[in-house]
Amino acid sequence: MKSSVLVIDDNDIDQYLIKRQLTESGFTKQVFNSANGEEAIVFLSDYDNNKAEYKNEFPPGLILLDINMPLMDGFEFLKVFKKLRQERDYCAAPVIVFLTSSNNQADVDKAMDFDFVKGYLHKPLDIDQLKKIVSN
Amino acid sequence: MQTINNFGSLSVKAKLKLINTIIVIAGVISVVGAFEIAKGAKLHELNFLHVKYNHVFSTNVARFESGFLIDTKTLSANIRDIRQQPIDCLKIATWFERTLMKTIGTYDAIELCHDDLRLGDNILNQVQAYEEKKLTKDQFLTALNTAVSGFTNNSEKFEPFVSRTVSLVLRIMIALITLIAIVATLIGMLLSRSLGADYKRLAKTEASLEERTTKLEEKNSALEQFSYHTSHDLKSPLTSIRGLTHFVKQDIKSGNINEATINVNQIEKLAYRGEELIQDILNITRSDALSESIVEVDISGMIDDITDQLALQIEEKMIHISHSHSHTHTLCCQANRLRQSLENLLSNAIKYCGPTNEDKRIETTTYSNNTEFVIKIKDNGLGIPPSQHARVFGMFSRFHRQSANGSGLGLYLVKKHITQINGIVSFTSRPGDTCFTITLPINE
Repeated sequence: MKSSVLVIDDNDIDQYLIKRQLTESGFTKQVFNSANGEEAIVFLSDYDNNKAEYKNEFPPGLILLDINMPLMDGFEFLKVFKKLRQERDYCAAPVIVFLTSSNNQADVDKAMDFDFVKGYLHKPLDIDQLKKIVSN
Repeated sequence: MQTINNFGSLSVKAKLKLINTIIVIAGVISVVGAFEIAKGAKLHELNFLHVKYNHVFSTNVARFESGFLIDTKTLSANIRDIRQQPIDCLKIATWFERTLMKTIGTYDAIELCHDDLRLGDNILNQVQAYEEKKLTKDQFLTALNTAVSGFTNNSEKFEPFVSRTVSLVLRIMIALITLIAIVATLIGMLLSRSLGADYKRLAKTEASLEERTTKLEEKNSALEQFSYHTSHDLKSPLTSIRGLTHFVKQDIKSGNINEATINVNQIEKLAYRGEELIQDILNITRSDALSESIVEVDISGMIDDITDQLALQIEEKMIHISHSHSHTHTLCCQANRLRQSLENLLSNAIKYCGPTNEDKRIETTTYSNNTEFVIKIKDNGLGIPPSQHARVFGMFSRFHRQSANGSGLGLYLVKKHITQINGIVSFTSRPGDTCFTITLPINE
């Protein structure tokens, strides 16, 4: 996995940690950050500017999505992203969601109902587990 | 009304039992009445037979007197026929009828039966005496005619007594049945009214139970939401501390002290955030149990205290804070709840003052009238996005990225406290103009 990754997380520190883990482990060289679902949708929708700026790194090849966020949370993002994928061909990245121990089975099912959600992880990020999901 | 109340205090089962008893009594009275009326009819029939057999007897006596050949056996049979009615009559009249007759003054009918029997016995003896030739025909005829007139006389006297008794029994029964019918109807009405009230009470209880269940479900759901978020929010800084510590160790090893220092500062902030979150959770969980007496509150002094407490942050962010207190009434409430609420509102006003705003201002205002005491905290900071207005007082509501430093529980706690002290908290917000208003009742 060498393509870029978009991390959608409201927590600055978590973003910092995930970014360092992804880059230092050699998983990817380019990590994009969005603080919430809304910001991520704006980023993903702006093809021209991002293509000009990030060249082949845009669109991201994988999205890591935190579920518990203010403004547009993970589930709301998944709904909007589903529409965006239908409207724009380049939005084809699979999504891996971050769940917490307080997320129940219903939340897992709710996320996994989207066919582009390939799996779920718990924080802190386990790179080996991430690789396993991606390789599947 | 008292009767209704007493009746209302009976259980539904007892009420139904009562109405059933009344119906049974009415039924028994009707059956007894019908039975007594039938007995009356029987007495009339006996008297009719008495008259009939006496007529046969008197005809035979007349024929015997005219010289027709009538044997004494025929006459004896006639007398026995006549004698049978008083016997039957005395059999029919039980203690109940006798008591009734004594009460209404028709007991003479019973005496007449005895008299008839004596008359019958006597004339049978006379028949026997005639057969034994102890009497002459004239003497026998005199005895026979006396008996005929005695039987006739008794029949005539008997009829009015029977009629009077039967008519009275009939009247009593009709009166009793009518009375029972009225009473049963009234009791039925009371019962239906009482059952109606019972049903209303039941429906009310059911509604209140439903309401309580809904409230409990809401509370349960709120608790679930609370535990969901708290577990996430409590775990989150600890997980981050663990991750940062890993990189700090790595950076120290590689000599990247600057990065390590930045991350150590982050760890400190995370620890502070965790502590703040735990404090907010403690405040919320204590909030329901907080039993505090109502005291007179020096609101100006309280606001000054809180401002002093937050002076460092106010100075750091270069915020101009002003107070305009024009209240004329004394405010009495649970001071700690109000203090915690004001601390939260002022702390939020400082936190979200807008980093790029060059003229940061916070203004506190108080005023009062005869019914309300109003406290306003106004700032010209970031404001709350309109799409989030509905969630402002919800748990774990954060509206700005910077607010990751907050627990998201502050305004929830404010709402909880102000509601507990019978007040109302509201807000208006747009970028550069946010105002939170606490309205408290004045208790003279």
